[in-house]
Amino acid sequence: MNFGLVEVDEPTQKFWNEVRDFLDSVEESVVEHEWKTGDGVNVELYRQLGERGWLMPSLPVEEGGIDATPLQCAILTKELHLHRIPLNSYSNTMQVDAIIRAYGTPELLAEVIPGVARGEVRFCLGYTEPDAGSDLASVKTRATKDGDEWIVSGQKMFTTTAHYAHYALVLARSDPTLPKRHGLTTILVPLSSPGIEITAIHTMGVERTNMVFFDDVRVVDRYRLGPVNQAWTVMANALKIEHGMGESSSAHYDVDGGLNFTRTLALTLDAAVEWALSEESAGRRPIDDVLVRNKLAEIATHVELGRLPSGPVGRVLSSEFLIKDTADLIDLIGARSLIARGEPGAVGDGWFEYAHRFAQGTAIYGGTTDIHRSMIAEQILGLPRSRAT
Amino acid sequence: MSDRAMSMRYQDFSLESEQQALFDSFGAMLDRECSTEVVRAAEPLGFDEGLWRKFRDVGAVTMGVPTSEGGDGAGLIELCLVAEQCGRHLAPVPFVESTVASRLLARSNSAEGRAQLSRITEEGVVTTVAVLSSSDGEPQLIPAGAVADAVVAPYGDELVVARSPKAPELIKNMGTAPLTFQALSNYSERVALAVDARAGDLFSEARLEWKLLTSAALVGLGQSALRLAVDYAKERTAFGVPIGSFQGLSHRLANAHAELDAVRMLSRKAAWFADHEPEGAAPLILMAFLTATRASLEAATATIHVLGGVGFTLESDAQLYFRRVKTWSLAGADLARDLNDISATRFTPGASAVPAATGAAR
Repeated sequence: MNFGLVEVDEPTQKFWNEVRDFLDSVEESVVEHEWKTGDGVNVELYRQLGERGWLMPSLPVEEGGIDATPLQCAILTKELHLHRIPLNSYSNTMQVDAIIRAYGTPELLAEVIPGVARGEVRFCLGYTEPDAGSDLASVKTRATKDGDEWIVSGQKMFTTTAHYAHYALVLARSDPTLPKRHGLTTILVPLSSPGIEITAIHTMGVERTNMVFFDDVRVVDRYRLGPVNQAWTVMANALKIEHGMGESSSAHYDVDGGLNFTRTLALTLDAAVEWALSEESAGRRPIDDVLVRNKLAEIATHVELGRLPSGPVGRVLSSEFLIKDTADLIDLIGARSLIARGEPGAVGDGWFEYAHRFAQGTAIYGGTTDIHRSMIAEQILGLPRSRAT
Repeated sequence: MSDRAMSMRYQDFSLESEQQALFDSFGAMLDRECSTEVVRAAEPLGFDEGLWRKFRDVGAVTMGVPTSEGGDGAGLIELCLVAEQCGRHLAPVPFVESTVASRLLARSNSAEGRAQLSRITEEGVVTTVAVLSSSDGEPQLIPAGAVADAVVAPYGDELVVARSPKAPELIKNMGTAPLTFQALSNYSERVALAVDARAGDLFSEARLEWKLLTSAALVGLGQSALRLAVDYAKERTAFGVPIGSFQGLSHRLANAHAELDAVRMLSRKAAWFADHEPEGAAPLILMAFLTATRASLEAATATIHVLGGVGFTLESDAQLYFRRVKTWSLAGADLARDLNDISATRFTPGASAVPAATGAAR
C-alpha cells in the first residue's frame, strides 16, 4: 500500500508547469463555450492538445505522443480535470481507437490512426438506439452485405459528440436469423458518407447529444472491425479498455477521483464550502451552524469513499452519492440555490441547480446503474442471472 | 476536495506479501478455531478464553506494541488486517480494545504504563480502554470491561490505569459483548499515566485507533453477513427460480457489496495515513468509522431480509452478525460529533471559533 507523495523530478515539474500554464490560459473560454453548447469537446483546444502530443502522450513521438511516463500521463489527466476541460469526445475517441488498434486491418489503421493522436480524427459510439439501451443486443440498425460493401440503415440515439466526430463505431444487425447477440457486426462508419443525418438532442444536464440517421449508407468492408456477426466479443473487449489518458498505466496514481462522477461531487462540495464560509447574515456564516457543518462532512465523506473504487462499484456509488447530495445541498442552501447561472442572487453562480440536473443523467449513460448492479450481483457475488439473454 | 496544489499522490492498495500472508494466516487460523458454533458457545459473555490464549500464542496480543516495549512493532495496516479477520469470524476476543490499550500504555512512555504492559505481555491479563469515557464519577460502558482487570481511561485531568483484582461484572447487552457498566471509582486502584493536555492527546489518539480498528472489524463482519445472504439466495428457490435472480434482492445485495468494498478501501487508506502521515489521518479514520457502521449494518440488515423468516430466528447465523453491528460500534460512539470534527478539520482548520456540536470537547 502506498498513498505517499510522488517525488517529482525537474523535467517532470517543467512539464507540469507547461501543462498548467497552457490550460490556465484556455480554461475560461473553453469552460464558457461548454456552458453555452454542451458539445463535450472544444475543437480548437482538441487540435492544440494533439499538436502538443498531449492527447495520447504515452505514444512515441513519431506516433504523435511525447513518450510520456505514467506520471506525466497522470499529471495531464489531473490537470485536464482541474481545469474542467470537456472530455466526452476525447474518451469516446480513445475507446474506439483501442478497438481499431485491436481489430483494424493494416490498411484501415494507416488511414485513420495517425490523425487520432494529432487531434485531427475523432470517433463516437453508435451503440444506443431508440429501442435498445440497456438491452443493447436488441439493436435494429441493419448492415447488409452488398459485394465488397455494407449498406447500413437505421437510427442511433444519444450518440454523444457525433456532431464533431469523423467516424461512428456502429453496432449493427448483420444476420437477423441468428439469435439476438450472435447476429451483430461492428462497422466504423465515416460520418461524411452520403445518407447520414445528425440532429441535436439537448439534455437537462447541459449536454448536447445526437440522433444519427443512416439511410442506406454504403461502407466498404475494410471498415468492419472484428469478424462478421462477432460484435459481442468485440464489445466485451472494448468494455475492458479503461478510457482516458493512459489511466490504465497510471492506475497507481491518485488523479483526483478521475474515474467516475465523484469529480463532479468534489466540485460541488468545493462550491458548497465556499458558500458556507462566505455568505453572511447577522454576523453568522452558514458554517457556524452545526447542521451545515455535518451535511458538508457527510458529503466530504462521500467524496473520499466514491473516489476509491473503479468499475461497477465506483460507478454505482458515485452516481448515487451525486444524485442524493446535490438534492440535499439545494435544501440546505435554500431557495436561492435555484437561481440560474449569471442571474443576480445566484448562489455559487448557479452551480447547485445545474449539478442537481446533471446528476440525474449519471445513473443512465454508459449503462444504467441497474445494469451495473446486476454486474456486481452476477460477476462479483456470483448470483444467478436476473434477465433473459 | 479537488485541490490546485501541484502535487500527486500514489494510490496503491496492493498489500505487501508479508501483509497478505498475515491476513491469510489469521483467516485460516480463525476458519479452524472460530466457527459460528464457537461464537455461540462464548455467549453471553462474548469471550472465548481458549481462543484468546491462541491469540497470545501466535503473538497477536502484543503485535501492535513497539519492539522497544517487547512487542512486534506492527503498524495499523497490519492490525487492521487482523481486525478485519476478527470481524469476519465474529471472534469473541478483545483484540481491538486490548491492542489499543497496550499501544496507549506504550505511548505514555511512563513507568506505570510499562508496568501494566509487562502484565499484559508476561501474565496475559486483558487491558481495555474506556473509549466512551467523558466524565469521572458516573458509571460508564466499558468495552471488553467484563473480561479485563484493567482499564485505561481519563479521570479528572489524568489518564489513568484503573485496576481491580478481578474483572467487573458483565452487563447483558444486544451484541453479547463483554461490556461492563462501571464507575472508575469502583476499581480498587488507579495510577496516572499522564496529566493535562498530554493525557487528552494520548486518549484522543487511542479513540482514533479504536475507531480505525473497529471500522476494519465491521467491514469483515459485513462481508461475512453478505456471504451468508448470497449463498442462501443462490440455493433458496421461490416461484421456481433461485431468489437471487430477483433484482429486488440481488440489487440490494449488490449495493451492500459496493458500500463494503469502498469502505474497506477507505479504512485501509486511513490505516496507511495513520502509519505514515498521522497528521492527516484523523478525518479519514472518522470517515471510515462512520461509513463502516452504516455499510455493515446494511449488510447485516439485508442478510436478515434475504433469509426471510429464517433470518429472524435465533437458529440462523444472520442474527449473530446483526446484533453485533451496533454493539461493536458502541452505537456509533458519537457519530454526530465525528461529523463535526471532520468538518472542522477539513473546512475551518485552525479556527477555534467552531463550537463543538454536542457535549464537552474531547
